[in-house]
Amino acid sequence: METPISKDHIEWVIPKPTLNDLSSSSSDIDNDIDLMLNHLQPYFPPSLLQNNFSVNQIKSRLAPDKVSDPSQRVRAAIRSCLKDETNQLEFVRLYQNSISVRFNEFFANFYNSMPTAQLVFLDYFHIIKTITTYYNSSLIHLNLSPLARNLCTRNINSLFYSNLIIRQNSKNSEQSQHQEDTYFLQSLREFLDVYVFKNTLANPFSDNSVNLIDIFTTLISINLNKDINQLLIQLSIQKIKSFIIANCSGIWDKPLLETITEFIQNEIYPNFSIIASYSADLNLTNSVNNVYLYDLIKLAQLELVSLRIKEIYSIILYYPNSSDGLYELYQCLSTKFNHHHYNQTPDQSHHSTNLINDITNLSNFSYLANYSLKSQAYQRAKLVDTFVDLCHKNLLHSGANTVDVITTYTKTIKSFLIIDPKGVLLDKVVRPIRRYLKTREDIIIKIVHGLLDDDESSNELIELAKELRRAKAKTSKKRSVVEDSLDMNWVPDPIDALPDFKKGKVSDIIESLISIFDSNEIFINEFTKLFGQRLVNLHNYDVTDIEERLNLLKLRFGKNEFTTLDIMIKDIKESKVLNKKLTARSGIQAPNFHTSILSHLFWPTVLENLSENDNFNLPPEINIKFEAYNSDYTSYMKGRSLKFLPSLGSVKIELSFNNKITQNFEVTPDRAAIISLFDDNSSELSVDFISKKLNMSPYMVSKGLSFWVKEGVLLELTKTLFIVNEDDAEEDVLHSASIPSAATLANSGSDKSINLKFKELEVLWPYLKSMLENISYLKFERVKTLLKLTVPKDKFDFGTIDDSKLEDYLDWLVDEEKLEITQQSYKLKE
Amino acid sequence: MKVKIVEWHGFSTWHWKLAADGDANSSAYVDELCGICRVAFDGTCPNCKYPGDDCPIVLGSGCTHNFHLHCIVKWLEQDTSKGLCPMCRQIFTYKESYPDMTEELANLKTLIDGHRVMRERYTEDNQEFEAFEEET
Repeated sequence: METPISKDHIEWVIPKPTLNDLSSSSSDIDNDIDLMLNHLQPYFPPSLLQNNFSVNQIKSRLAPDKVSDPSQRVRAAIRSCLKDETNQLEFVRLYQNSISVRFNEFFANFYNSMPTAQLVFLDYFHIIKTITTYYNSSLIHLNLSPLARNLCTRNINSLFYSNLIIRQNSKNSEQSQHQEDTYFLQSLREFLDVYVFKNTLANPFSDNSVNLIDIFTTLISINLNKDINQLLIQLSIQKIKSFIIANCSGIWDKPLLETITEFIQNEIYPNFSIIASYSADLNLTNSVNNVYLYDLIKLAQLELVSLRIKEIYSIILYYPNSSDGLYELYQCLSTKFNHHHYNQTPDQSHHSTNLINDITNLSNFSYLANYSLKSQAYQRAKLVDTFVDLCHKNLLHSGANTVDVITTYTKTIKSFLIIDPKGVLLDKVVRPIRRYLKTREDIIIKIVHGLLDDDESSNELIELAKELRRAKAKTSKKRSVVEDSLDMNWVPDPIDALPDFKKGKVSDIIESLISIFDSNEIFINEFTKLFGQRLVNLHNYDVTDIEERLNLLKLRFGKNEFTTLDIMIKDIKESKVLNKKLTARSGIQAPNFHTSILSHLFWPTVLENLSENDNFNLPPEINIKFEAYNSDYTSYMKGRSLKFLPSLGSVKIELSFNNKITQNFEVTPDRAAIISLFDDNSSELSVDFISKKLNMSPYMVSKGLSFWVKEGVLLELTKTLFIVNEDDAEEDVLHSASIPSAATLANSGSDKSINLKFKELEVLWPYLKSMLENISYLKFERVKTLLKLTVPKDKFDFGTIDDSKLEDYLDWLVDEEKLEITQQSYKLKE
Repeated sequence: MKVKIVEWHGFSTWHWKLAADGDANSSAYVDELCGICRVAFDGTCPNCKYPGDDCPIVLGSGCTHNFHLHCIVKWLEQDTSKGLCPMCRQIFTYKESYPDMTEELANLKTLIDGHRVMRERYTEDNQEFEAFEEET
């Protein structure tokens, strides 16, 4: 027999004394001892000791053999041998050693010869049952004193324990002993799994083939209740875990805690409590079993929290649909389960720790080790860490869109306030996001627009606008230290708060975004810019909307921060009043001119963008009106005068063509000034002329002209010459009515203008054609001279056009696919 | 084609006319500052929020120096100013271009008058003193 255990080696050399040693000694009661020993032989169930003992035999469930009833003589021998307790104890010690030899032999043989993996629990149970019955029946006849008997049972139990639980299959190395269950435990686990948990019948004991009560009492009788408990707890945890993973992952939009509690109450707990009541200490009362229920629910909650921690980033992105899930996370993280329980039933408190103790006892099982760590504080920290990690991975990199980051940021704030209303976790979580946002260049603009744009479709950060409006209700008051010390309900910051934790700073979304930057000024400037632009684009002088927003902003940023904007709004308001007054005062004043009067030092964002280029001449009509307005103004506002800003504002004009068709436009002043030069003027105007006349840069002029060409009002004769599109006006109007696309308008306009442009040159085509039919290839210079020679003077005068125009015409013919150009020579297209 | 301007919404800026024949379109004076508070005339004195009517300017008539009304009033309220222009030390008077006298302007007028009275009294005293000296 080879075993790696050194103790066995020692015993190999110095064997423990067994009952066999007794028979060799000579004494008066030799006879009696022999008789008794004969009776007790072979110290082990004979049916199990057969050499060819096989799996099939176990499977066939051989009847447990009992020690045959002793004869009268043997009884007498036993009585005489085991007269007093000292003898009994001595006997038990020896008997135990004999048994132990057999036991070890049997199990060594058993593990070596049996395909243990094939055995199910019931096979093991059968062996156990056989052995226990055997010993029980033999012990009955020995009439041992309680002490000796107790000692005997304990010894047998420990033999079972060492052989079933501790003894490892020889394949397993020593250090893995604690990691893996023995085959026995594995089979016991499977058994429990099948019969206790899978069997969801109301009464699992109804299964006739397996007498569970017998099994458990037997197991408990050999002192395995601790192991049963361990396995039960492990299994329950596994069940709960898989239930939660199967039923809760990805589901955040409905409450689940109740389902889980129900599951535990209906599926896990009934069977659990029955087994537990068998295996637990006898003095545990029924009510104590409820403690297990609480603990199981608590375990389930821990499990749910671990799951949610893994999902936290997605949950937050899913907000507000995930608010139910978030609320349950809050419940799980905040319930003080055990404390609550202790307080309610103080008399049970010493029991209620049982399961937890069992679990902590199990901490040598690696996968259970987590549980002891899963205190709330640990989970809170883990939640924060996981979320921050995921944020870095998914969001806080240079590829992210600022709007997305802000949206996530606001969702984070709201979600974490549900998880932890005190805001401590939030405070920790938002720090990296805030640091990141600070580095984004466009954040200010995004926030400012988000705050002010009420249009749901265009504003990706509509949340901010809503939040700003909501702020109207609550007055933001900043709490000072003094106020804190006067607050009777004051409580200290939570223990895991960072030193500079301030709840207000993070819990309010807008405040939280604003406070990313140290100074408000950067926001104020952006607001001023934005509002300035809006005020300039305002045409009805109605500032109520802007004023309302400004008031909302003032609540946030402080009343005195918006001086410039106040002045800007006042300017517009006063302009409105003044326009009315001046119009009323001078009856001559036509109502078609009015102006917004700006305090020029306070419109930096608008006026700084103006350059000399914007200082073009107004149409005379308007200039006269402005001068009149100005003199009225001076007489009304003593000591002041106006300076006109020609490029700002908007103009409504009405164009009426010769064919009685009128078109209305609302355009910028520069375009209006350009088109008014064509008023009553059917001749073409050049860019240079317009530029000089209006004192406008040629670039601006061509831009304005191309606008009117696009609108179909003007025709582009050449790149620099433009004329009113009188003839085609009607068609174009129809055109623009039917096809609103600007691009098509532009195309049709330019095509026609080219057509028209070359109309005069059209006469050249027959000459050109016959020329190229005779001489296949011609360079431009040759084309020109030949045309000059062939075309009669009365048909076309070459003096009126320049070379470039002729070249343009030829190129146009190429475009029209009438000609071909190869190596700067023209030829007819075949 | 006829072009009819239906409505022209223009933008303009207002400026104080500083010189008598102030050309509204010359931008040369736009940046001119009040000699007391060193803020542009088209801005406000340090105590005002809104420029324009709320914080008018005063044009000097004795000298060519102009100030925010509030600034010059503050200056003249001090006895040590002796009613003189803080820039050139000439007796400060202003162009009464406003037909309707505001309270503030009235205040300014009182101050200037007060200083004039003081000056007159002082010169009277001096004359008496000189006369007395001559006698001795």
